[in-house]
Amino acid sequence: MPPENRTPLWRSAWLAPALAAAVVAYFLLIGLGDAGLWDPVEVHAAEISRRLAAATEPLPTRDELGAGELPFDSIALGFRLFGISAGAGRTGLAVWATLGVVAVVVWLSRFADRRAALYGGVILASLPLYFLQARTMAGDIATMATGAIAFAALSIAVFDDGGRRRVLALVLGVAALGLGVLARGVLVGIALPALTVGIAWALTRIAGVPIFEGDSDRRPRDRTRDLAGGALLVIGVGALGLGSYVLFTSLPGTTPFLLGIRVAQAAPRALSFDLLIAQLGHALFPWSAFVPFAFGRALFRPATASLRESHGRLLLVVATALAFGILSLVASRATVLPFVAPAAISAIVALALRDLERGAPPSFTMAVATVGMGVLLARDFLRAPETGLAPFVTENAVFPHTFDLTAHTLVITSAVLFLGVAGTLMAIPTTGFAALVSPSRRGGAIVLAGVLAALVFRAAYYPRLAEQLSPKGVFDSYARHRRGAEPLALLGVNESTALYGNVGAVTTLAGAAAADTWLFGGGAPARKWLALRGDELPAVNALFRARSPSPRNLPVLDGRSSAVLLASNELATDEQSASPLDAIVLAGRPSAARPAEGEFGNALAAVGWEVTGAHGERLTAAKARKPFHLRVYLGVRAKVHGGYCTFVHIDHTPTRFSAEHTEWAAYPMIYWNVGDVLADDYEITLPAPFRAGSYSLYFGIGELPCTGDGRMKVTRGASDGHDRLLLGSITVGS
Amino acid sequence: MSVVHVDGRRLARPGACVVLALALFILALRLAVAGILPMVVAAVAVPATFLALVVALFRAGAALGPYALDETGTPRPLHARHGFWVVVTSAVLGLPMLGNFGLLDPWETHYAEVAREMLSRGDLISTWWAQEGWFFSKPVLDFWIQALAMASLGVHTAPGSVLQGWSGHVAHPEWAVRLPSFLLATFGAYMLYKGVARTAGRRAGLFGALVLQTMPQWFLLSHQSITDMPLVASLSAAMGLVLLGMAAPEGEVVTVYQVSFNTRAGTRTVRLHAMHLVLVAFAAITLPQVAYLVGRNLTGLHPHVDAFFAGSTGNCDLPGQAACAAQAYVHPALQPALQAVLWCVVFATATFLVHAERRRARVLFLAAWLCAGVATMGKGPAGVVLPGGVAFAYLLFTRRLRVLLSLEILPGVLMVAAMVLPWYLAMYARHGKLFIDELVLKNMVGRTLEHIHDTNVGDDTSFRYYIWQLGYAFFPWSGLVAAATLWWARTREHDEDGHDPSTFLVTWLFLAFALFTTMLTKFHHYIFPAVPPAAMLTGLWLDRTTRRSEGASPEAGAEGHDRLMLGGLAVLGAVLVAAVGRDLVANGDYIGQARLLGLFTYLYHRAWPETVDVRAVFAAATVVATALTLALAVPRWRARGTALFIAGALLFALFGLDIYLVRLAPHWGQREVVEAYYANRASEAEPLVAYQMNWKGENFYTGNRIAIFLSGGAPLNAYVKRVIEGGARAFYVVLEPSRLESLRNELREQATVVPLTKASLNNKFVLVRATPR
Repeated sequence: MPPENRTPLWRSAWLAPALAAAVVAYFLLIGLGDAGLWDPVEVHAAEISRRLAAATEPLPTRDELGAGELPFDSIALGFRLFGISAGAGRTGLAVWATLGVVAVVVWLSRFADRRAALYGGVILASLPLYFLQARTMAGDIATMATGAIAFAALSIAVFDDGGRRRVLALVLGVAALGLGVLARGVLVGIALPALTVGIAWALTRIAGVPIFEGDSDRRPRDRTRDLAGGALLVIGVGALGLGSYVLFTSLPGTTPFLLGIRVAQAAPRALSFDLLIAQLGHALFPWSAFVPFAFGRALFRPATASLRESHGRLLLVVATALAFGILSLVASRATVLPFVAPAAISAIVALALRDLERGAPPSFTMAVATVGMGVLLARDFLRAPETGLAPFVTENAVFPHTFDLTAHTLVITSAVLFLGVAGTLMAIPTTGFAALVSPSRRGGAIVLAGVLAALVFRAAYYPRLAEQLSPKGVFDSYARHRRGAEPLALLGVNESTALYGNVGAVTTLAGAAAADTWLFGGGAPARKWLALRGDELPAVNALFRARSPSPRNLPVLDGRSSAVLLASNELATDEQSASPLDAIVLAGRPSAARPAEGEFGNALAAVGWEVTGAHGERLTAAKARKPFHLRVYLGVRAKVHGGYCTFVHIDHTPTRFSAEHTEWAAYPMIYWNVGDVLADDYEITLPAPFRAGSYSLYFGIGELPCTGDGRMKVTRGASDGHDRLLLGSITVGS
Repeated sequence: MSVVHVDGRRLARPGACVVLALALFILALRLAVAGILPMVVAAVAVPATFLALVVALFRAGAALGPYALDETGTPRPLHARHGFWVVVTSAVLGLPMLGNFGLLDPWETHYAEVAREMLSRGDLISTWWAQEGWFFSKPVLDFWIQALAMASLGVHTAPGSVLQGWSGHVAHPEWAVRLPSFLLATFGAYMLYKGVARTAGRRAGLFGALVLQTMPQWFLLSHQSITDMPLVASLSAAMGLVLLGMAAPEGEVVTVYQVSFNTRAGTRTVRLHAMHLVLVAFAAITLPQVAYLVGRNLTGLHPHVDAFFAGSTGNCDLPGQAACAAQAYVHPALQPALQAVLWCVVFATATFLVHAERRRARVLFLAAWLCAGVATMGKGPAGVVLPGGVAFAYLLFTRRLRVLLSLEILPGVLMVAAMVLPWYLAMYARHGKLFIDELVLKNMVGRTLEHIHDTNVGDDTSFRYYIWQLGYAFFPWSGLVAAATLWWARTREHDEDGHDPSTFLVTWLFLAFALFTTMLTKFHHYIFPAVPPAAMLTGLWLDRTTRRSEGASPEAGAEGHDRLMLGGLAVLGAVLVAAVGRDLVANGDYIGQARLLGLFTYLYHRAWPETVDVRAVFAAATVVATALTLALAVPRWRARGTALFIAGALLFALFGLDIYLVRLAPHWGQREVVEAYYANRASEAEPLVAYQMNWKGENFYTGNRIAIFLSGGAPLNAYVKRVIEGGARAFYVVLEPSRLESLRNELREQATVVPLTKASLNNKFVLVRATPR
């Protein structure tokens, strides 16, 4: 072909699908083994699946699964094929995820057009809820995928043209229903997809709209569609009834086959209708900023749209509504599942964006509202970084607050990327850089912005979070630091993670005393290592300090994560400890701190205090409405067994400022040894009424729950008569 | 300019009817307050006389001219006017039981007590708060309107006399205390109806108003004498007036009504128009403040320095009460009369700037500023920030920013300043920066930037917090609100005239949601400003979709598609309302039945009374709402379904106001417990003690004539000893049941304690009689 007749590469028909496939592959398939196993969230599923794969141990019971068997079978197949590793286990789930994407692409290509299909596939893969469920051995990706396949196939069976295609689709749809039962029982696996298509069919009949464009009444094809639609409606209603019956009559703690969910011992305490909305808002971010408006936009009918596209939009609305309803029903007696229809949401967003290219008017209001919504959602991530765990939909995870700063930066980056680009492209079609994007490419440009924003989570946020959550990083540190055959023990860390982490044989310890004995009980080699869960550190540290002639904290060689740390009984000469307790349990009162004289209950002495900035720099004065740290240093004179809170008051008329620590979670009082010096650190922001001047600073120790008047008596020092010790005056600058 | 000539004689009879109806209405209220009217009679008489007043006002308006013709220029009888039915609905829902149940702790009693103290202390400036001293948490409007109502309707505000009715009857001061909330709610709903009716059609406005009045947060707060209804009602009125103003044709002027009177000196003519109404309202709000300020420096004709004092008049001798003492001005140079001069200048300047205005749009915008000023007096800057922000954003979105030039910003700001700032300056002059620190910096700015007093421990306060509460605030309309909001998103921002009320409403809804979600301090009721736009949007949507089903589709070619989409939305709405309804029935960390109460109370986890169980009603309402929402999927059922839905919602509102709230009030307040004290005591020599209490019902219902012991110990025993030695044969204590043993232990050597009230009367407080050993 002459050069002048060749299509430029960037206009090739295959380029967009190739790029889309590459994006999907990156989000779902590549690097599955990079992150170590997440304890405890993935360990349970991995262990059960390993037993399934081995088939030499007793097979797990359904009650042990707590869910349908399909995801476990998929993980087990991965272990069988590729060996026991985190990546192998996740492969089967990732394949399901990819099939779900294929289902969405096929569906959109039938109910909209090819470009919308590409958009939908890419959007689905880039939803954090979807790609994280795909990449974690703990979730419901198999449910989401089988649901997407069933939905796509059954919709085509009823609403599409082509007899053969519809028959094949029906067969595939029925098979997917069966797989759905294996994933999550009849309510989610059958009722949801069947009712979706059945109700959509019924609504079409009620509205008096033909099911198939060009149909006239009473052709034979009409009847098969009616037959299929009606049958699905009946099946769906039946499955809903059966599933509800099983849900409400099953014993707590059991996982009936027909339900595919463990019935809870008690209904979730914080159950309310909006829990799924909250989940979606956080688990789909940054796309969730646009989702509510996409819904509305998808109700719009472009002039070029066919009747089938109207049906498609109806199907999506009904699918989302029913998913919400059925999951709400399940939650009332079991647990809050991940939203199982992200495929429907991705299709809705894809249609809304495609419509921008097909004549739907741009909307400044919608753009501003999207940006506004995005800011509100991003703010949630910044105020409560544990929001980042939303896509996992698990209560077993603890967010490592050593990750907070990184999380903030990445969330802001993602939000700015998406909201800045997408907001502009949605709003002003002919101004600024938006004018560079042709209207026929506008939707694609927004998809690109969304994917880039989601890439921040895929490529940076979640991998780094995984490093903090999984012991793998600690195992890698052990491998780097150890010399020779120095042994490793685990405390509070599931030994199975060692199996997947390739660290060889490990010793599993039960309790801080056992860890202390193991670390310091002698024997060769002299140096030993301990991988321990963050909340075990205080107890082990207290025992270590008790045995040390000049008390110091247990050496921690890897303290990057607050979830899992690596400690040792010795420090090499070129090594430094990075214990998180170094900031709390001190060698003595810092010399520059202001001295304090006072004692509580003849047990705890206030030995000093100081005001510092965010990075520990000493301040001579605080400022109202600007955060600072107030550190009070306590010396332990006698053992205290807990049951107290500490508080500070900065007196002001008419209302004082108060802050308290009801729990010493980082280093509970029960571990305080005589002679220890503790730093009680308060992050304070004084309200505006604290104008420039000096204010009396009081410190006290209350009796839990610290809602009443019970306080530890001031046995020495300047008490105000209410067992508050006057530490001095705090200066507030202007 | 349109001039209507009116013979003044035609106004005589309607005017007399208005005066008579007003007198009857006030009489009915006074009799209800005095306890003379039994509950059922009051429940009929008060709404009946109110509606008579409304009819009389309409007839007067028809005689004068504004109500003579409708918007098409033809006469329309009262019963054919949708606005009348909006008012009737408000009256039928809101009046029968308005004063027939006690005030709820702590906020209703709190604010009522501050208002009572204003009258008792004779000081309308400084706000005193029972035994706790100066009250600097809220702006003054709610206290003034309650004080005005109490004074007008015969509430006894002296210590110990609040529950004293006429001739031995037990008074119902609640009629007076809550009347302003009801009136403002009616006004706000009506003005918003007018705005939507003008821009989206009468039926849309009517539907919207009916939806609004049957939303729980609206109808329950219309029965609560707290600051939120003054804010939101006034704000809604402002928004309605903005809508009217934006829809007014450019250059159109207001109609002048030229009224002629025959007098002995000849024919006199008075020209009246809408700007006069605005100026009269402005003067009515501002000038009394000015006059009061002047009066603080005058006794008769004798000028003097203003004096004020701390303490609860007549109660200073009681334990726990602050000592009554004269107070000195922090800024003595800023005497009230001098302040009055300043406000006269501001008032005069604003009046001068606007008095000649005749353009209809601008007159309406000025009226909107007036209402925004009232909203600001009610609860702070949101009263003017929200309407201003919404108007600006709306004009930006619809590319009509030039309309900003006609919004009368300078005179509007002056009007708001003249209305709002006098009290602030007067308080600053007396209390100095302490007042500014507390009210402005802590309770206004601080609530935005910090957590202050909120009670959300354990709750997720992310973006979902107000979606969560709005689900209950909207019930049973929850599903349809979602459907209506989604439907908006598919449309253009504006029609060919550049105007779209639905975009205005969505802007209002979203800005309110964003503003209060951003604030760090969160209470369930803070989202109340988002309720009116959601209701109006729903009404608009119902109007349009029922028109579709009637075949009047403006987009005939896409009708099939729209029918499908409406069907899908009906399913979505049905699922949503079913999920919300489930929450109202099921218990978890919240008691389901308490969720509606939680829309406006303080502590959300207080004990639920065992004698009240309304889950069956909530369940039935959920089933009906779900079914009717689903029925909207069927085109030929849509109109009928909408009518049934509205009827059902009205019934639910009646249940909410006349049964739910009435049955719960005794357990969330202290009226009945204090009533029992007065019924049991032999004389005033048998005092009442509040033991470890701080709920304010004990203060209001006793006129603060109560001995207060936040903790016991020696002071309590010393007081009891004095009482016994004074010859009292008994004294009474109100306390929480969980503290009964503690009280018994404290008094074991001096008195025997016997409970007089049961949990079935009040499950949170008990009245005990203590008799000397």
